[in-house]
This record gives sequence, structure tokens and C-alpha cells, in this order.
Amino acid sequence: MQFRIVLAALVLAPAVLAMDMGEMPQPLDLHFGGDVNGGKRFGNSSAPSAFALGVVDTMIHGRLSREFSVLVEVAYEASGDSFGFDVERLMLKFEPTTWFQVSVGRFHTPLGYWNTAYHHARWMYSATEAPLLDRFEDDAGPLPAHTIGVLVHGALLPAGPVRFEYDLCAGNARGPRPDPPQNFGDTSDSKSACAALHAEISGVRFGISGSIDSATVSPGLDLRERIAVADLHWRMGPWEAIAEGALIHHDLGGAIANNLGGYAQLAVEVRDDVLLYGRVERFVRATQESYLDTPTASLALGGVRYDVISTAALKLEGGWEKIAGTEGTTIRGQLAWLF
Amino acid sequence: MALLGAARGALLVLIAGALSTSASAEPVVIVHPSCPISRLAPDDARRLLLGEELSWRNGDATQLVELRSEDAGVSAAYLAIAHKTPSQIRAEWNRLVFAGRANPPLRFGTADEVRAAVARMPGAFAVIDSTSADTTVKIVYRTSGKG
Repeated sequence: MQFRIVLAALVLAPAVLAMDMGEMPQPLDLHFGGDVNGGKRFGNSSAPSAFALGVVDTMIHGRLSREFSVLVEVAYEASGDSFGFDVERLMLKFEPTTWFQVSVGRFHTPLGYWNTAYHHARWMYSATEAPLLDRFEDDAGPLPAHTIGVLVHGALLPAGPVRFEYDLCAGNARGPRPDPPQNFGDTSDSKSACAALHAEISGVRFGISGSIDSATVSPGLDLRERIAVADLHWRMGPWEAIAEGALIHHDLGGAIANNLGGYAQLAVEVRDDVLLYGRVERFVRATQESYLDTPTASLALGGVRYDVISTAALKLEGGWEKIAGTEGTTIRGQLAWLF
Repeated sequence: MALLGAARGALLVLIAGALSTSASAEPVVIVHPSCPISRLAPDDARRLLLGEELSWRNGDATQLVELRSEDAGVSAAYLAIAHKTPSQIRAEWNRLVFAGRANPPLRFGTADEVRAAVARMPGAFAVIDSTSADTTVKIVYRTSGKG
């Protein structure tokens, strides 16, 4: 409740909270994202057509000085029949140079491409939803998308046409369930660690990332998690391609599970404000898996995104999916905005 | 008499300078004097303005500085450099800021304040009219393509 009051105060009185950037006072930077959806599911998993409210996303960015900044992202999203309130990111960032930046707080883990390129505002996505591999923990996503701890990020000075970026992080371990991440403590003494290395050359960015974690799921029952992700992002003229693949290895009290997931997405800008996109994805849940909520699934979709204005997009898409053995087709529409 | 002649000569030089400045008034990309770049290619200017390039060769992070209100000349320059309207460019920066990859643009009320901010802050750049630029900043791109 206190946080909501502080948030409301920030929204209503940005001028009062002007940040002092040396001699350059700047107001807080506020962003609001949201989306409204409509769709119908056919086939074995058929469901009535419905409209649905999506995420209400608020992001506040403040420059405390040239080297220190804060970022707070708060999202209201569906939780049963009502809205749930989540602090998605809360970071104090120290950035003395581009090759060494430290963030402390709650942040998105640098696993793969999607999780650091896109966040909770769906306006940022080409499609209406994130691929299953990169959905958040509260949406049955298999990866630890968020953690609470320390993140070091840097872009190394370019060596000829090649650029390198690295990430290192340490944070709380996974909790007794994949969701929620352990915001206020840790059930185990050991911490999760992750690392990523990416290279970019002529519009192609590719890299590997991974994490190791030992979590206490219940008294006397520990989860050992090892994750490896490879990702590729390619942009050339109007074309953009993204591909990611991940291996999620779990050892839960001696039961070994190797889960595999991946997707490939291709998009082309046919006009300045019109984007065509398509995506295929697959997640294979191991038979022995008992920690994750993510089901085995195959999905394919295609659609069109029309930027009504530069801050609002209308997306229409159709898809086929087979989730936990149940097959169906879907049509969906979404109006999403971020300003 | 010689003094009068010298004064007249100086005045002519000043007028000629002013006329030449006025004749060459055009939007330019200015950077902090410590910026290691002396001249940007058109594609580099586009990438810089769209936030596709977020650091300079010396490791300084790029920092876009712009006018708080829309200026017709600057808007035309944004279109010429990036082939995007100011609101489209703002949307791109919103995306970067939201992703935590960049700091938001710093905004000021006048071109002089924009220039002064660029002069104070290593890594900063802005698009302003060349008549507002002075020796405290470095011009690295001219929309006319000259120099």
C-alpha cells in the first residue's frame, strides 16, 4: 500500500521530484504501457470468444547523477479474476563507463535475447505474446526471467567490425516454486549465478548464456539447476530474425530432467508502419520434470502489426498450437501501447 | 583615418561572416569536444539518432540531448537523417529506455541550453541549427552533406 502511494506521488508530481544532473535538472522519465486483447480458440481446446485486459505497465527512470540512475517497473496484470500487482524491476544502476555497469536490485536475467530486449509492455513485441520459452515465471515460463541480486554488464570496445557484450550476475536462488522469484529472502544459502557473452557483427548478434543454481525446494529436497541458452538476432534492412534454444537441466532429489525449448521468429517491415511476422516454437518437457509448470508444446503463428501511431500498435494474428497433447487453432487481436 | 579604415574592414569581415553563417544555416549534429569522432557518415548519424549505436569509440555512452518542444528545422533534420519522424524516434528511445539499455534523452527549452548541455557532458550529442553551434561543441555531421 505504501509503495502504491509513493508510486502515485511520483506520477502526480514529477516536477517536484526533479533530479539534479549536476547543473542539468531533469524530471523523472515516466512510461506507461498497456494492452487489450480479443480472441477465439477453436479445436480440442476451444473456448468462447473473449476480450481480455492485458498488462498495465509503469516504468519510472530517474537520473540521480551522470553515473547513477534508478529504474522501477511496476506491472498490474491478471491474477485469477482480478489484477495482481508486481514490482517487476527495481534497480539502482552505476554506469561509470559502457564497459562496466553495475545494477543492484531486481532485474531480468541475461539469459538469451528476448528476456533482455523485451520486458512486460507487449507493445515492444512484434507478436501478441512472448514465445513460451521466454514467458515470465507467473505465466509458466521455464527460465528464471527475474532474479534479485547484482548484475554486471558491459559493452567492450569494438575490435574491428566485431562488438562484444558481457553479463555476469549473482542473485537469490529459485524458490520452492518457479513463481514467485524470492524477493524478500532466500530459502537456501547458495546463490544463483549467470553469465552471458554476445558478439555483434554486421547486424548479426549472437551469443551464449547460462546459469547455475542450487535451491531448497522443501526441507531436505534440493533442486540443482543448470541452464544453457544460445541465441541469434539478425537485422538487415526491413528483415529481422530471432532464434533461441535452451537446455534446462534439473536434478531434483536425484531425479534428472533435461527440458529443451526453442523458437524462431521472422519479421519483415513491408511499410514504415506495417510489419508481417511469423514464429514457430517447441518446448519438450522431460518425463522426470516435476518443478516447472511449463508443458510440452508446439506452436506456430503468423500475423500483421500495424502501428496506428508511433506509440500504439494493432496486431492481428492466427496460430496453431498443441499444448500438453491438446490441439487447437487461435485467432487473436491486440491493441498495445507504450508512451 | 587609418583607424577608421581598420574599423570599417573589421565591420565588413563581421558582416561577411554573419552573411556566410546565415547562408550556411542548416541542422547539424553536434557532439562534446572530447568525442573521438570528427565526422559521421550518413549511416552512422542514422544509427546514432535511432539509438542503434550506444557508445563512442572511447567508451563514453552516447546521450541524446534535444529540445523539449518540437522545432520544424530539427524535425526535418530527424527525418533527413533517420527517415523517421520525431515521435517515431521518441518511440525507439522509449523502447531502449524501457529495456534498460539507454538513458532517456535529456530535454531543454532552448537551442542554447541544448548546446550548453552537449558542451558539458562527454558522450552527449544533439541535432541543432548550425547558427546555434559554437566552439564549445564539435560539428560532426551536416544535413547538407557539406563538410
